[in-house]
Amino acid sequence: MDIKVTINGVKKVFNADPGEKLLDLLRREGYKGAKRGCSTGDCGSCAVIINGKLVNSCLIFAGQADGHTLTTIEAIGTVNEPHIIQRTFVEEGAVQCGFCTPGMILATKVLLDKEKDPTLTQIREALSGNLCRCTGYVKIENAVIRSADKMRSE
Amino acid sequence: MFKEVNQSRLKVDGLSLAAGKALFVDDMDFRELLIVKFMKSPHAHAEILSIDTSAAEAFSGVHAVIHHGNTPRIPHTTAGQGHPEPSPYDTYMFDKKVRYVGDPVAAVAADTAEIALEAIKLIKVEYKELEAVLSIADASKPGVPVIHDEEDSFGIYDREKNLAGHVDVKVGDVEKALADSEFTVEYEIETHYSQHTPIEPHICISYLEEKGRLVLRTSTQVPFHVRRICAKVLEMPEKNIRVVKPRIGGGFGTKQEVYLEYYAGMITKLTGRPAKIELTREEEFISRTRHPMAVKVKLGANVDGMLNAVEMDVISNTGAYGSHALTVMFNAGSKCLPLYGAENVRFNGSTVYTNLPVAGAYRGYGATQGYACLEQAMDILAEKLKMCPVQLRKINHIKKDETSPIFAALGEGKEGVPQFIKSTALSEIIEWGEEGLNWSDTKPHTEKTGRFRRGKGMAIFMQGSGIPLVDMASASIKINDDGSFNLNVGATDLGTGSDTVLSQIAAEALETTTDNIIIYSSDTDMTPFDVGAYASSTTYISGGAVKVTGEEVLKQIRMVAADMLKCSQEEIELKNSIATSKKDGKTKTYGDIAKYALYINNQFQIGYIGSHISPVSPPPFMGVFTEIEVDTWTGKIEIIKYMCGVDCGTAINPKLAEGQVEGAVVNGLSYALTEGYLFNKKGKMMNGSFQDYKIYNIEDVQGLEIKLFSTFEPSGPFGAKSVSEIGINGPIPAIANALYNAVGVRAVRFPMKPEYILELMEK
Amino acid sequence: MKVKKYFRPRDLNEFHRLSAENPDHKILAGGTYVAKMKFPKVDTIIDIQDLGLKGIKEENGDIHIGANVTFTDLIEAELSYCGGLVGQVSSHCGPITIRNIATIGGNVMAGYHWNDTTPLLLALEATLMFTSDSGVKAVPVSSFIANRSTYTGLLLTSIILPSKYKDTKPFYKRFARTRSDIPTSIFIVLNSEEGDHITVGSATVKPVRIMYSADDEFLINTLLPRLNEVKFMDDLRGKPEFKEKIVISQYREWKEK
Repeated sequence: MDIKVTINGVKKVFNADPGEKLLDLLRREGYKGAKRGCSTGDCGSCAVIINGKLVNSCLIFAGQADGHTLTTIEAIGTVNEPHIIQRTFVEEGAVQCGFCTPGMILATKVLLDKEKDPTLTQIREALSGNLCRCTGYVKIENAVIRSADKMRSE
Repeated sequence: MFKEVNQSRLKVDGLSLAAGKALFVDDMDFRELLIVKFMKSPHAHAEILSIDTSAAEAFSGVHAVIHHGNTPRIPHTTAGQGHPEPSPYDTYMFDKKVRYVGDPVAAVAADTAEIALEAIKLIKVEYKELEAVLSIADASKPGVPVIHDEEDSFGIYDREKNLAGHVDVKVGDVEKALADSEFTVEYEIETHYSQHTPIEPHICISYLEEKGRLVLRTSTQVPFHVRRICAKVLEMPEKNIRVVKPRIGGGFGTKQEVYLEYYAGMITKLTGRPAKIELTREEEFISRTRHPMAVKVKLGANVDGMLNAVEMDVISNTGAYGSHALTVMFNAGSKCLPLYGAENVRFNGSTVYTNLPVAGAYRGYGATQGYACLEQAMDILAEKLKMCPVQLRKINHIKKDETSPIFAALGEGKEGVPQFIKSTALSEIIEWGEEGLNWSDTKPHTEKTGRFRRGKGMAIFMQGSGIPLVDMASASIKINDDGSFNLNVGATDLGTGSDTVLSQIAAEALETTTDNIIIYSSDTDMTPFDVGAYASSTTYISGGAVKVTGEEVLKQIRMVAADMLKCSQEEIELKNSIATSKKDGKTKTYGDIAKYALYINNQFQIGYIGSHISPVSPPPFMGVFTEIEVDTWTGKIEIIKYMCGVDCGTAINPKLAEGQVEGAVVNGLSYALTEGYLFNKKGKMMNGSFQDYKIYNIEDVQGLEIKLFSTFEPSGPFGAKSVSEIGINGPIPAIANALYNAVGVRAVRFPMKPEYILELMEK
Repeated sequence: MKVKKYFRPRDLNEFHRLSAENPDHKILAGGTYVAKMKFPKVDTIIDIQDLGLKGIKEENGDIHIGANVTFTDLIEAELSYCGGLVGQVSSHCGPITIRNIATIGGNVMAGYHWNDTTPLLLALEATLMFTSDSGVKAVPVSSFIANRSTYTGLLLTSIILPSKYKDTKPFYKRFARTRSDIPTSIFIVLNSEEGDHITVGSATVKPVRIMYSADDEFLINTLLPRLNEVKFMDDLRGKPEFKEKIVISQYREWKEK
C-alpha cells in the first residue's frame, strides 16, 4: 500500500506492507535516527514527531501515518549545523551512549516549540516516554533547561 | 596545571549522536541480509531426545537451521575475559541438554524475522524433562539434580554439588577474634536478579568481506575477546575474523558476553550471506543478568568500636552457565573487605549453578551485592555499640598509605596483589555528607510517629581500577601532515565517553589540544589490543597506555624539532602544538614538524604503539548519605535526598565523570526499589518488558546531589582513577539503613518494594 | 505480523461495509494496544482515524467525548467538569508518547482494565454510545463492564459523562510502582445526591463501584467484602492482600480528609 507523507518538509510516497510498523518503514528508507529499543512503546528510542506530537513509531502501523506530517531527528540539525538543543545536549553532558538521544531531543523540541519557559514538571512530563539507562537523567534535565534559556535569548 | 585533562571537553562523538548520525550496529544496510531467530527452551532443565528440523528447513525463505546436531561442540565460556578466562568452560553453541527457560535449542536464518519465527514453530523437539534447581538454597542439597553432568566441560569446582567455583581465604584467626570481641554482629541478606537493560539490546551482524574473511559487526565491550572466543567456537583461525565495534547503545557489563557473535558467524559461514541477530527486549532480559547472592557478614569489635574481625560468606547464583562465576563472587570480597582495617578477615565464597537465567558481568560486579550486606551490618554494629554509624566508619575505614591483607589474598579468581592506598578523599566525603544531611539531628526510629516517617542512612564504599597485572591496553598514535594525530585504541567506548577521555589524555601528553586528536575505536584489524571495557579499567589502564604512547610520540616530535631548529632536544619547548627553541626563540608548528619528517629529511612516520599494565588497582571511594520518607500505610519509599560523593582521582572530564556517577546511582536506585524478576514455578521469567520490569524514567528521579572529590592518584594517568561502577553500590545499603532509621525494620530481600516493607513492618 | 489488508474508511457507511466484508478484522483506534500484540490473529485492520469521532463538547452539562479523542486531547481540553478529574486521570494514562496517540475509545474497547479509564468512567456513570448498521445504542458503562462480550464487533463512537457530576469535587488516589507504571490500585470517591460512591479499580481486574454508608464498620462490612468482586490478582504488582492494603490506605486517606 502507498503511504503518502510529508517527512522533514518533503512530500514522499513510500510503499509499505499492511502490517508494517512505521519504525520499520523509516529505518528501511534510511531514517536511521529512529532506534529500536523495545518494540512495545515503552522506551521512546523510536520516537518521531507526527503532526507536532511525539509518538513511538514502533507502535504505529505505517498506514496510520498516511496523509500526515512527520519530523525525524534528521530534520532537526546536522553535525556541522546542529540545532541549539543538540549542541546544548552535548555541552551539558546529556549524551552518553546516544541511543536514546534522538528521541530525547525530539521530545525536547516538541516541548520547547510549545513552552518557551517550561517548568520542571513540564520538562519531566515531556520526556517521560523516553528511557535512558546511562545518564540518570540529571544532565538531560539540565540540557532542556539550558536549551530553553538559549532559545529564549535568540 | 592541566590544560586538556580535568576539563569538560565536549564529547567527541556527541554531535554525531545528537544528530542521529553516529552509526550503531544496525545503522548500516546489507544486501541479502538473513535474520536469525532462536528457538528457545520452554523447560528449565531437560534433555533433548530428538530434534527434527526438516519441515523448518523446507519452509520457503529459510536458509539455514543450526542446532546441536550440525554444529561444532566446543566447550567454552561466554565470559569475555582475558585469556585464559577464569570462568568454567561449560557452554556450547548448542547442547543436547537445556538448562534454563530460554536456552537456545536451535537457530533459524531466514529472509525475514516472520519467516524465521514461523519456521521455528515447525521444528519438532522431544524433551525429557528433568527436575530443576530454582534457588540458591536448593542448589547444593544432597541428591540435587546435576546441571552440568556433561563429560567434556571443565573448570567446574564440584559438578555433583552444582558448584561452579569456590574459595576460602583466611587472614589471621577470625574465629578466635570473633569469640574475643566484646560486640559481634551476624547479618544475612539475599540480593535479587536484575538486568542491565541497555536501551540498545544485544545485536550482531556478520558478513564476509571481499577476501572471504568473516567480519563481526557487534555491540560488544570486548572486541578482542570476541575474536578469540569466536575463533575457538567456530574452529577458525583468528586471522580470518575481524571484529568491528561501532557506536554501542550501552552495555553495563552485559555486552562483555560473547554469545551472539558465533551464531551469526556460523550462519554466515554456512550460507555466505550476511546475518543479523538482534535480541528483542524480552530476550534481552534472559540474555545475561546480575548474579543474585546470599551474603552473610560477621563483625567483631571492641568496646571502642575498632573492628577485630570481619567474615563474609557468599553464595552466588550464576544461573545455568558459569559466566564470570568465580570472579564476581571473588569481587564481593576483594572490593568490600579491604575497606575496613580488621586484622582477622575471612572470605568464604561459593558460586552455584541453578536452572535460572545466566548471570554475567554487571556494573558493580559483586561489590554491589557484598556491600548490600556489609554496610547494613556496620549500622547494626554501631547500634549495638551505641555509637554513631558515621563515627564507626570514620575510625575503621582504610586511609592513605594503609593497606589490607585482602588485596594480596583475593584477586580475580586467584590471589591478588598487595597495594597501599595512595589517594583517598573518603574522610572529606564523609564530612561533606554528615554536614549536608544534618547528621547530628538524626533521631532514632523509636521517636518517630505518624503515617509518613523520615529516616537517614549512610554507607561508604570502594571499588577498583582495572585488574592489576592482568588487564593490558595499548594505543597507537601517528602524526598527520597538519600536525593532527590519529589515535587508535582497542579501548571500547560503549557510551561511557572513553573516546573523549582518551583523546584528552593524548592531547595533554602531546602538548596539543583535544580537537587535534582523531580517535578511532575499536576494530581488531585497525586498532591495537585492549582487553576491553570492563572492571573499571578504561580511564586508568587504557588511559595509561595512551599517555605512554603520547609521551613517546612527543619525544620523536622533540627530536625532529631539534633537527629543524638546529638546537639540542633539551632546548626545545613544546606547547600548544608549537616547538620553540629556547636558544633563539624560533618556532615550528606540529604541522611543520610533521611535513619535515614525512617529506624533507631523514623521513619517517612519527608514531608509536604503546602498552600499559598496572601493578596496582587503586580504588575510587564513595560516601552516600540519604534521607527517605516511608509511607507506613503503603510501604512506599520516597527518596528525599541522596547525596553521593565520589573520589575518582583526577576527573579527566568532570562532566562525563559526573554523568557516570549519576547514571550508576539511578540504575542502583531502581535496582534497590523497583527492579526485580518474577519467575513462575517452572523457572520462566514472567516480566520481560519495560512495562512490567520498571526502570526509572525522568519523573522517578529526585533529590540527587552528586559531587566529585578531587585527589591525585600517582599510578594513574594524570592522577586518574576509575569512576564508572562504584555509584551503583550505594542505594541498597544506604536506603536500607535509612529504612531502619525511619521505621525500625531491616530489609534482607530486594527490591525494597512497598509490599515487602509492609510485610516487614507487620512482623 | 500477518496482516493482509489495511483499511481507513472515510465514513460510517464505509466502515460498516468493510467490517461486514471482512469478518476477521480488528478495529484500530490509536493502535497502541493492537501494535503491541505479537501476532494479531487477524487478516484485516480497520483504522478508524478518519471517522471523525474526535470532538469534546458540552451539551446541557453533559460532556460528549468522541471515541478517537486521545488522552493528550483530554488533558489539553482542561475540562472543569468534576473538578478536572478527567484530565487528571488522563495524565496518568501512560507516558506522553502513549497519551499522544492512545484514545479513550481504544482504551475502553481493548479489553484490558490495565489503564485508569474504566474506573473513571464507572465512577462517573458514563454512557457508551455504540453504532452498528442497525443503529445507535446507548450502554451504561456498568453494563458494558458486566457483559463485555455482548459489544464486540460494535463500534464505540462516543462517551457521555452525565451532568450530575459537573460540579462534584472528586477524591482521587492512584498507587503505582513508578509514576508511569500501570496502577496497582485506583480509588475514586464522588458525591452525588444519593451520597458518596467509591470506585476501586486496579491493573488486570474489573473495577467496582460501591455506595458509601456512614457506618463505623463500612470498611469491614462493606468495602472489603465488595473488593472480592475486584478479584485482585497475584502478580508482579503484588499479592491480593497487598493490593487490599493499598485500597485500605486510600480509604483511610479519604476518611481523614
